[in-house]
Amino acid sequence: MKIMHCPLNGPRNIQEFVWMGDVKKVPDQANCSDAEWTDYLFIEDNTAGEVDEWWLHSPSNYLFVARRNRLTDEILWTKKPSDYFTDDAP
Amino acid sequence: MALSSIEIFNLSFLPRSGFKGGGTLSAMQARGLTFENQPNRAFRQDDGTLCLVLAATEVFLLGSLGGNNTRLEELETTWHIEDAKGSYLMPRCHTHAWFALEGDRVPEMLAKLCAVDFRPSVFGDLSIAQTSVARLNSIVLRADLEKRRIYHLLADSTCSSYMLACLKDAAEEFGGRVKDAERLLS
Amino acid sequence: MTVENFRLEAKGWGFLLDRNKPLKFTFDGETYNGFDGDVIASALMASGRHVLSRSFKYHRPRGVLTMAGHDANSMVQVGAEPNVRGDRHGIAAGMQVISVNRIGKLDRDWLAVLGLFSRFLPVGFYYKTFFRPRGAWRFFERPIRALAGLGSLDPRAHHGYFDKQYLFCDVLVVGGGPAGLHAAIASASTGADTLLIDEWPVLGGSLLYGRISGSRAAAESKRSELVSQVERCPNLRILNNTTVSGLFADNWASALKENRLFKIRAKQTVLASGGYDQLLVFSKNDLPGIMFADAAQRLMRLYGVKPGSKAVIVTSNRFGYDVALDLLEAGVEVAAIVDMGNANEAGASKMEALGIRVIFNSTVVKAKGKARVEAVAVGPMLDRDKRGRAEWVGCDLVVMSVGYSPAINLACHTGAKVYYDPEIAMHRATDLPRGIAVTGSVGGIWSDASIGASSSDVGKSAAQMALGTNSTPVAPAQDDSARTITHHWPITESSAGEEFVDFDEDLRTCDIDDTVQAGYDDIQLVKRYSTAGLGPSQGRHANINTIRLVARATGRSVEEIGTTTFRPPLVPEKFGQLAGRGFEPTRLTAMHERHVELDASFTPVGLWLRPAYYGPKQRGNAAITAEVTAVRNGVGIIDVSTLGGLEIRGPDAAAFLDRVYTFNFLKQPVGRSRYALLTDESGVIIDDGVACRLHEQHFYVTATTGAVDQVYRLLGFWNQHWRMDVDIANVTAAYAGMNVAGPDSRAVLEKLESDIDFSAGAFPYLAVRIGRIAGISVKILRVGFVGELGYEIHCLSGFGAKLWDRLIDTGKHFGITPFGVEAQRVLRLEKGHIIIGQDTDGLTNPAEANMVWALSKTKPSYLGKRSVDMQIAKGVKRKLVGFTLADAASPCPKESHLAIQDGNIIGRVTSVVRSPTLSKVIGLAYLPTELALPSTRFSIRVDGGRMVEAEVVPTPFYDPENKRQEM
Repeated sequence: MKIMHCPLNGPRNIQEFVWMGDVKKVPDQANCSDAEWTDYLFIEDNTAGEVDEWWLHSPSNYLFVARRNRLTDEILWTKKPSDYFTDDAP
Repeated sequence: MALSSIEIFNLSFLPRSGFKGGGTLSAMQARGLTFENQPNRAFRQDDGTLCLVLAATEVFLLGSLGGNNTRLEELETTWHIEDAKGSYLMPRCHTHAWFALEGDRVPEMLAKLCAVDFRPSVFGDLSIAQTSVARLNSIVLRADLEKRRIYHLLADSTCSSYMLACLKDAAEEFGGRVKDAERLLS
Repeated sequence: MTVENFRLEAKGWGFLLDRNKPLKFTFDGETYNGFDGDVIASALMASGRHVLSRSFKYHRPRGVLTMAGHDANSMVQVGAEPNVRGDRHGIAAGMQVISVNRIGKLDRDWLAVLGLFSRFLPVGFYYKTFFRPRGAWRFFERPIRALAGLGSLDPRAHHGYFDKQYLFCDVLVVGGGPAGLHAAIASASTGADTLLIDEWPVLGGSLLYGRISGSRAAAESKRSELVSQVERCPNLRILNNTTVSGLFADNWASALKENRLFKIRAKQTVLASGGYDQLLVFSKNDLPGIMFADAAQRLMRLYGVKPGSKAVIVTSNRFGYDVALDLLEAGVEVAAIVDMGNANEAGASKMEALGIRVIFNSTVVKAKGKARVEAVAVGPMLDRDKRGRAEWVGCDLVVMSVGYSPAINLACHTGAKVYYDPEIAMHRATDLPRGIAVTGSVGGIWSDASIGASSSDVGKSAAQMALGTNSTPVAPAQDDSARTITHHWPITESSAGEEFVDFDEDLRTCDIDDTVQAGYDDIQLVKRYSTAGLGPSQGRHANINTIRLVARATGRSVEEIGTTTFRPPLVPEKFGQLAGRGFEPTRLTAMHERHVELDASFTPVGLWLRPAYYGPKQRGNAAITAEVTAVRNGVGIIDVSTLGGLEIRGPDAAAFLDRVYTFNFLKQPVGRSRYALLTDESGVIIDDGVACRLHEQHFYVTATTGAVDQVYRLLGFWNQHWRMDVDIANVTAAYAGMNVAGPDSRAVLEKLESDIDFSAGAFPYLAVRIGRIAGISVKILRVGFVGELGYEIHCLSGFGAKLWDRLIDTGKHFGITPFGVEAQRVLRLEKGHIIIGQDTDGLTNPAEANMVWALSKTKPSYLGKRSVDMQIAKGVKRKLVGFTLADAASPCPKESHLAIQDGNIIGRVTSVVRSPTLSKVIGLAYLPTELALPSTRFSIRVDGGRMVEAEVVPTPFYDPENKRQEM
């Protein structure tokens, strides 16, 4: 079983975590076009490589960001959202 | 004191409380609790209260085993949403059941229910693990009483019977028994 | 039964036996003797029984092969437990062992006749036969199923107690042979917390029965030296009789010991798992009495059993000469040593000095015998496939030592690559994942001289990496002696046929050739078509020879063929071991004991147990009707503690709710509740509840029982994006809830001591009040889910039972009736209220569910607003409608029955009951929008295919003006 390093709780079995989707920019639903909105909802990039994802540590309900390589299934790092949005967010 | 068998105590009758929200740590410090901003660590207060820092936004307070719990009462009764300052009262007596486990082989027993390593060399006094125990989200705390190594387990109060049954089942091979809480409090 | 005794009595034989503890057990009903420490196979062999089972397909007699639990030959049934490995399963007094896969007696299996028809049971016959003519399979299925499988299941067998346990360590060493012992000692001495796992009852591996430089004494003293060092290491734990069955990501290993599955988390893993003996393939190589050298040695050294009286040894390495010495020491005549080469000069000259005949550059070409080998033909090897003139040598034991296949399986479970090294004629693992090392024969180290130093290096390096003092793994050691172990072509075919490659599946060399001939020339396809390696021994002894045969048949090299993938588990895991204790949390409300006292029939709702109705199962319908009637005409009380509860607190509480839920909350007055509908971003309804404003900065929001955890996560997720000044807390467990409903509910509450004014004017419909009842702090919501005057009372769960008692006591005067989930479902359906998740599905939007009234038209956004607006603009294709049956006498449909019109499916029923209040069947169904108009007729296909006529009617079915709930 894989280990994931939770920024709050440290290394834990991946079973304790819930995948919450790719980190992506949410369009302004009041002003974007229909196409932009439906793209956001239904079109996934499905990147074959490194992606930033939301993960939740279920027992503590702690949400954070992980960078993962989908080809090698390697977790490169995990960060508190505040650090992520200062350092890495696109 | 070495204890070859395992003793299980149900401490759910004791007071406990908690606060949650972005302003919790500063509000609690302002109200006289002493602790550091160090998540998953517990801090002993002078009156025997244990302050569990679960995150930068949350504390869980366990009443003193000795019985003096005026401080917890006061923290609860004097709390008002008007002056909450981002720190909100959590009814922890009602959300969580409280069990304590004593015995040299408790780490082995917990390893039957949980994937976290609770061996004393790894999980020191006042360590906290927020994890899954017997498939229930739980908080495990080690808070020694003098030389006695005590593990505390906090879990969903509505699953109290289930959790107790799991603890008894896991402890059976170690001669585990449910004991009157007096043994721990004395 | 009296039988010959084949025990070796002298010291040095039967290491595992306690000869002071004789035991009796039965095999196929006959009593056998053995000792404590014996396994089933050893005790049977000691009594002269060599046939242990019948083979899977041709029912050929089979005997001991590995004495290590690695083959299927020794599979037996013990009591109710099938698939027991008889060469590893200890005997116990009174144990009942049964042989498998036979009709009649094991020694005279009627099905052995199948062997005569082997021509008609070609490889892949399952795929080729029985599918024509149509229906043939139905005819053949029963007899085939009766023949297939090993052992039988007893459905009445009692449940065993199985569990699981985690183990943690810095370094895990798998294998207690010389390599594993050296590695474990080095690791522990370096300071790492080390766990050594070995599948045998005592440590030592090959040192328990083998020789070092031809000396048994040297092996024995090496073993005692290593074991005493191991026992002195303080930070070294040993698990005996334990088998590692799988290795997974991040050094997580599964290991089996009796009824416990260990889940081991190590920082580093060292595999010292040794190798598997490889078969010599020749005609009738599966006869009982033909076994591996290790098996013969284990029989003698561990169990004190003489494996035969006259032996032929066929070997390609030094171990064949070692076993010759053991056999001679045990008093077994060695008729000949057949050396497939001529390189073992030292061993050979020693043998010849003892007067033992050594035949060089030769092999066993064929064997003869019925239930046991009687003689083998030995002939010179002229080239790869051609053998010279053979001579028969009489014997009752053939010992094979023609090579090994390294046990690299565990490394491969985590992604190590495998390649064939023609220099050593064995596979090797490469590209080992981080944190995994191999040592000993699994890593290609075979010489006794280099095993100690190289394994110690690996153990030390693993410890340093685990402790973080060094990060470079030690470079793999090299050992030239690995070239002298395994023969590259241990296969001889003759006109006699019956050369078995895979014993489990009864596959012969010709079957592999036929498989390639049939076009399956890739090793993965060969495996699946021929079933080579699919049996209980998972190709341990068959894999490499299969690859060799495929290489020959396709004209490619063994390297080019590659290998099939090794997958966990390495050894059979029982379902019980995988299931463990089966943790299934059950949530109980604060009033659970009260429901039990009231004889409630419980139903699971999510993790909760809720009263379905009060009374025994057989009177369920009557109870539900009585409960419904009580609520409509008097007063009822239901435990609603399972409702989710969320506290939304902070200066931005109202703004946050407004941004999430579909209604307006900004201007919601304190002391009022409001319906709260939640859609996801794609506009699909995912939950509903009630939002109570308790303070400017405080909302208490309910959520449905099953969805609260998901809603809580969702709210937290969005606030992480929006960063509003608000705290969200899931307080479901903290509150008990009870709904007192019915025309008399107000009277009940007014009778209780309370600071709340319950009069209609002071406490109107949808109001929320905070106060005390009977001294207990409560918040009370006037809501109308069941369509009557009603009060939903929430208190801290610690006071739930007390409040319930007071309400029941006070309500007695009014005939207060506890009601369960079933009655509530009827009551709400009479009111036409939907249940999210039952009347909605994973695509339902608010327009389809007629919930447009719950959508704010004025605010800029809620979670799925854009999507809902787009759906409404586009128009919806289906709508949820109320219906009744045209004929009240028609059978009542069920949920998910189909709505049919002109033979086409047009929709489905989502909720339906026979209403006791209205005396007719009422329900909700999805219909196409154009048909969703009152008076439309449609059919519903009910159980048995019968059609009943239904008619669309407006909802609510009951009290359409909503007067009763607003009293």
